[in-house]
Amino acid sequence: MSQNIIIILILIATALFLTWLLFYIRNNKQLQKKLNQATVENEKQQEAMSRKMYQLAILKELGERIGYSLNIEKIIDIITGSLSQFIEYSAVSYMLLEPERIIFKIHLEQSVSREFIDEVKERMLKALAALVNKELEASNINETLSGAILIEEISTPVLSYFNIPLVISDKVVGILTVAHTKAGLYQEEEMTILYKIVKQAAQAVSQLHQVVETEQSKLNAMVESMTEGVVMTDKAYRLLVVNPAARKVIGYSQKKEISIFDFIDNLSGKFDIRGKLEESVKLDKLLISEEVLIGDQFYKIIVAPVKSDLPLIKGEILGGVLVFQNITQEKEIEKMREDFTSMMVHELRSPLDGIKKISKLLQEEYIRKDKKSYQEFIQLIYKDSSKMLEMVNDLLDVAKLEVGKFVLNKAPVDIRQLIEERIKFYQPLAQEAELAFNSFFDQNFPTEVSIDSTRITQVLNNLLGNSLKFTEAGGTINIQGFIHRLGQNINEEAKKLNIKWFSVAEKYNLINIEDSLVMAVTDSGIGITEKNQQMLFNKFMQFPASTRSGEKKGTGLGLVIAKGIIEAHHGKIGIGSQAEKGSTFYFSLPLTDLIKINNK
Amino acid sequence: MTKNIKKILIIEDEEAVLKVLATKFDHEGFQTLEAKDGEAGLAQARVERPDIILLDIVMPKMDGLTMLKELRKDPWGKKVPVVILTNLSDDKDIAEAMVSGVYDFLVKSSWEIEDVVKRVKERLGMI
Repeated sequence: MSQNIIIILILIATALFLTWLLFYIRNNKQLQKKLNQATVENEKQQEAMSRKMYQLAILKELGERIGYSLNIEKIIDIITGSLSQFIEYSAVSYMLLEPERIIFKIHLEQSVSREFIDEVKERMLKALAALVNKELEASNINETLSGAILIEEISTPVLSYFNIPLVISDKVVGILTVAHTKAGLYQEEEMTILYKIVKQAAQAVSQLHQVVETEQSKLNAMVESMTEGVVMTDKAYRLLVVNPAARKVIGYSQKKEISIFDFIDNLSGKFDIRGKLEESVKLDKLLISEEVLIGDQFYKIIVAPVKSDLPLIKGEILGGVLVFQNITQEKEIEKMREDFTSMMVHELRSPLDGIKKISKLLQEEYIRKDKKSYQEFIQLIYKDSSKMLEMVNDLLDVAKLEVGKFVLNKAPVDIRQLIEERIKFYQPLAQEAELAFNSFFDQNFPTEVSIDSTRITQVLNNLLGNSLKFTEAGGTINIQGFIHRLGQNINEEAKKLNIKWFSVAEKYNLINIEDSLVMAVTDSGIGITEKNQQMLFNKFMQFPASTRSGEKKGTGLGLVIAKGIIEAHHGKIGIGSQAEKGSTFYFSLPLTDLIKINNK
Repeated sequence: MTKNIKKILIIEDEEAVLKVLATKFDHEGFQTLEAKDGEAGLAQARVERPDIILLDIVMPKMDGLTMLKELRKDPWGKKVPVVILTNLSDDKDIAEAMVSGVYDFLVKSSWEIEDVVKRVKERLGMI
């Protein structure tokens, strides 16, 4: 007979364990899926980022080149090439300022002497120096000669000469000159035409320049605002871009001047910046680091080469980019998940282990003869299996909430009666714990509402059960119901009704809650700190709460589930607390919603 | 005769496991003492001075390892044999327990009551 009971009990325990195991495996699959998704998204982000980095590099290049020579040179070449149709000259020439040199191009329509060219060159350099108000060295001139051949015997000097400054985006970048061996040329009419042509060209370039600048500043703004730290260098590892997030990584938010050495020094022993940049650029490879601890934050560092995509210099390496991705939070979440899982395993394995050991012991003759012990053990099996069932139910509830498969079975019910029944149910336990129950219902408090009574009972059980667990003997627990009106502050409404209520923080915005019924359970316990208040409704957050009796917490998922149930009813759940004084746990259920369902 | 009755203190928060062990050791002729958390266990150990202690790790109020460290501070507590009962399989915890001077280490989900009895008797030189 008793053997049969044992077998049945073992079967129950095994079934419970299998249910949990299934849940656990399924959940882990989900976790794996989530992690995979995260990896894919990460890769996408990185890809998008290196694309942006590349664009930024190109625009920087382009901007610099347009500013000096590349396009202007081409445009001026075109202008000079077609200028002979409008104006007569022996030579047309231009000079362009570049950071390290001066470009001088001269095209001869007719043969002149070297002396002629040198005179033009000298005059242009002087004029340009005056325009930019800077001394210019003749030795820096890079000369290109084209057109007719030089004939030294022609000794005619420069007799007609005219300069036009080349201005791009309000900045003098060079000078255009026409010169002739004939005297008395370049009168007003011809000069006007030349001015117009040059002006138009300059305007076109200025506009292009502006477009590039706007694009560049847009990209710069984007990089500046990125949460990832971004550092870009040229081929010589000089810093081109360092965004605020990257400065923060090495704690240099305030320092104005920053160099690659600041990064190398601060990361020495942790991450070989120079070596990795070199490796990435040389091998043309994206490198992703393991987690690196910098200060108290964990980072993943991505190193990638920045390559050109311009037709002329396609594939040319322009430099390297470092991206610092802060993974501290992900690591914390991962840790919480692990802690939660190991806690669950322990909480489920302990009672199961107890059941197993009892059933083994019950096979012994001497125990079966001892009626009292035998009864005790059977009761322990019942208690442990109930505890496990409760935990498995909690876990399944949370799993349902997470995948949005939480179905409510609403029906009209007298909510006041429902609450009073719960109070009656907990009364003996309260008495045992030497705690007093006080209940109050405002006269407007509705009676019949449409709710899922099983689920709301579950919420009430959780709130009442917790209040009993966490309040010391001699304390009082107030269970109160009232009506909240949209636009009113719940804290003040409770105060007006003289309700025992610990104010809920303003940030939870209690004014924008629609017309609702509010149920509050207020205890006279030790209170809950602001930080812990936020953890209460989080699945993976467990904080060491000491219960009055030191008994075990179970899954700690009660409030997580309660939140799910209330939110499925379109209500709100929350807490107000004061250290050493007590806490108020409340939930609201919208009246419109309840009435609407009532009318159906 | 009374000289040979050994005193065993079992500290375990899981009531079923605690009751099973107590019943078994009682049946084996031990004088058994029970505690449901580290705090109560430590207090009992200091007063009762058992011949051997069976100790769980994960417990409310005071966990097993903290209790053990406290116990080892007492001159008497330095020598008393302690058997750890746990279902933790974390290497770090095992290492910590060894450092604290634990005599034996058992993994809860795999041990049988008979094994525990045997090990305790061996340790006390009863077999």
